[in-house]
Parts: sequence; C-alpha cells; structure tokens
Amino acid sequence: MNVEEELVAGMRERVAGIHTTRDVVRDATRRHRRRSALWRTGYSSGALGLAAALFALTAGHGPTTPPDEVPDPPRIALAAAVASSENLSCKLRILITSTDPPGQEPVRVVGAFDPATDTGYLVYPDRAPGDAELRLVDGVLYVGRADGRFHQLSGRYETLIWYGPAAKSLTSMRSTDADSLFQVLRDVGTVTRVSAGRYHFTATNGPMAQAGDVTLDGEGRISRVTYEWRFADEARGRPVQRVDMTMYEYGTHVTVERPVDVVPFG
Amino acid sequence: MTRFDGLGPLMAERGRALLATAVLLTGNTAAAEDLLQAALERLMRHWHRVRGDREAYLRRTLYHLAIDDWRGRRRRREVSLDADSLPARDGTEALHLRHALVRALATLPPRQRAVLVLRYWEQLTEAEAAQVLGCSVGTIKSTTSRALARLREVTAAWTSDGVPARKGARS
Repeated sequence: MNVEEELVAGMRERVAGIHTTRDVVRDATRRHRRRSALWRTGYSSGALGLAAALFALTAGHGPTTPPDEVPDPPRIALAAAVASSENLSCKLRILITSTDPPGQEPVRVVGAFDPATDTGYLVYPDRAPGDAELRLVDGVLYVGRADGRFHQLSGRYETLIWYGPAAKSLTSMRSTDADSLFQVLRDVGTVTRVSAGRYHFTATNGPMAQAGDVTLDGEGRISRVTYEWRFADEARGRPVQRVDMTMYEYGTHVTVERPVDVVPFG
Repeated sequence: MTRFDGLGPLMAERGRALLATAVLLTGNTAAAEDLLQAALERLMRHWHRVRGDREAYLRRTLYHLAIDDWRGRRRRREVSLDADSLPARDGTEALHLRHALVRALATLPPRQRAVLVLRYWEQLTEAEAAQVLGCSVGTIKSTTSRALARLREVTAAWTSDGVPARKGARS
C-alpha cells in the first residue's frame, strides 16, 4: 500500500463538498473594523498611546492586574467597553494641554469619525478656518493650511492621525499600521476599577508613559478619557501633556465634504 | 465604500479551496473557519501592501497561522481506531483506511501537518513548500519523512487484508 497515494485520496474525500457554515468574510470584516477603529480615532501622540493601551487590553497583552473586588476583572470590563464602542461612528471633543513649559493655553479640537467609511474630520476651532484641519473622505486625507487651502496626501488613510513630515522622531507612534501599533503596545500597563463605570489605567509605550481614567456611558461605551503622559524615563517628573477626550453621539452619520481648493503636497 | 476591492470575488471563486486547505490544516470545519477568518483579517490589515497575488498571501498566511496556533500545544490526541471505525469485510476497507489517515493527519504536530498538506494536497515541490514556510528544503525533507513515518505507524496497524492488527496507534 502506498501511504502517500492513500493520503491524497483521503484528503480529497475529506474536503469533498465542503462549505462554510457562516459568512467568514463578513465576520473578518467586522472584527477587522473593531480591532482598528479605536486607534483610528486617536489624535495626538498621547491619544494614540491611549488608544494603543486600550487596544492592547482587548488583545490581552500586558501584565495581569491584581485581584479586584468587582465580579469582572477591570481589564475584561474595560475591554468589553472598548469592544462595544470601537466600531461605531461618534463625535469627538478633545482638549490638549501642554504643561512643559507650564502656563500654556489648552488646545481645543473637535471632530467626528466613522470607521466604517474611513471618513471624518478634526478642526481647531480657535485657529483660522482650515488651519491644521484634517479631512478624511473615503480614505483620502486632506490637511488644511493656514491660508485656507488644503494638501491632499498620497496614499490611502484609515486614520485621522497625521504628524507631518517633520515628526520623524515619532515614527513608531504615528504609524497607522496595526503591526507597528502592536510594537507600541508591548509595554502596556495596568487597569484598576475606580468606581462604577470608571477605570484607571497606566501604560508605557516606547518613550511615553500614560496614566488616566476611562469613563463609560450608560450603555457601557467609552464616553470620556482623561489622562496625562510624560516621557517614561522622566516618570518622576511633571507630565508634559494632559488630554481630555470625550466621545459622544455614537452612531452619528458622518459626512465630510472634499475641500475645493486643493494643492499638491510636497 | 469598497475598502477591499476584489476580496468578494476572490472568496466567491476560491473560498471553498481555501477552506479545504484550512480543514486539512485544522482537522475540522469550525476550526478551519476560524483559521480562514484570521487569515482574512491579516490580509485586511495589510491590504494596501499586498500588491500581488492575494490568494497566495491568504494561503501562505493560513499555513503560518496554523503552525503558530498550535505551536504551544503540549499534548496531542491519540489516534484511536475504535470499534465503530473498524472496517467490515464489505469492500470499504480502503475507505476506512483513508479516513484513518486523515484523522491521523489532524493529530500530527502542526508543522508536520502543514508540510504534508503542502506536498500532497497542494502538490508543491519541496522547494516551493520551503518557500511558503520560510524554511530550508532540508527541513521540508526531514519533516515530511517524520510525518509519513508517523502515518505509517497508523497504517501498520492494518494487515494486508484490511483487518486491523491492533486497536489504536500512538501519535
């Protein structure tokens, strides 16, 4: 008897008439969106670090959290909140306060994002119209200039994150690639429950360390994240930035117009 | 919105073949669907970087994920030819044998299983299989040899007239 021949025949018999029992493509698409949506909404490098931290929690990275009195471990509870939030469109309100040097005015940013359509925007209300504004329309990213015109960036984007060509030192932070993001996630930290619907987290991503709170809304979705970040090697020093990000109106319809006055980038 | 242009037609045309490969790599349909979904998710993450043959990328990812998924498994199931699976003297002995071989395939270490699927299901050469798994041709040869030896252990339990000499085979 020839084992190889019998094996080939057995393989053919095993898979004859085989078919899927569920829509694998649909399930993969949904999961892909869930996994990538939250970090898409990050704005500053600190916000991305936060998204990375939360994303890591859902992926099960990081050290085990200490025992907690609540029935569900905080890490699992927060991961559930992320899972129920991340694939939905929402509006964003972000307040970024740089604290080094101290005394700086906070920067306001507002926007909206729909991960399902790669469409969204971020605007600085306190700046001139268009200045530093980001518009993402079906995966095409436009960056506003101080004169009101827009650059169209080459390639396709699934994010509202763009640090510009000068931010090479932030290479590991600004990547929109999930694999690179995973590298950032290696040193994700801990999660503890503060009170009902509120969790405290710490995380270290590359040169940055974050610590802050996540607040859930009545439906278990993330409604607000406040945190500060500092350079990890100066952890005992003062924070260099504080971020207050509010996510609201989940499920909102996000429509963004393509800019009219577009000039080539570079 | 068409973020993954061409994926639908690709899966409509080649999805069943990919699932078949996944079934042979995992041993059952549910696990195969999970594996195929995981490969699809990876393809989606790298969609804009995978310029060439996306089916080839998917197929290669299936093998790598299958090997990774089972890498940590410490204990494998024993191949058991229980009474219900013993061949009757009704001319179906060969069918039973092939069934036992495929069941034994599912109990092999993941890398051995992947190599056998590449060589005997995909009909790849040793060099092509080595390229898919990112290893040397020598590794493919030695892995194939060990895997077939293990399968022969199973078939050794069968006498030439189709009656098993003993029940069960160690995996």
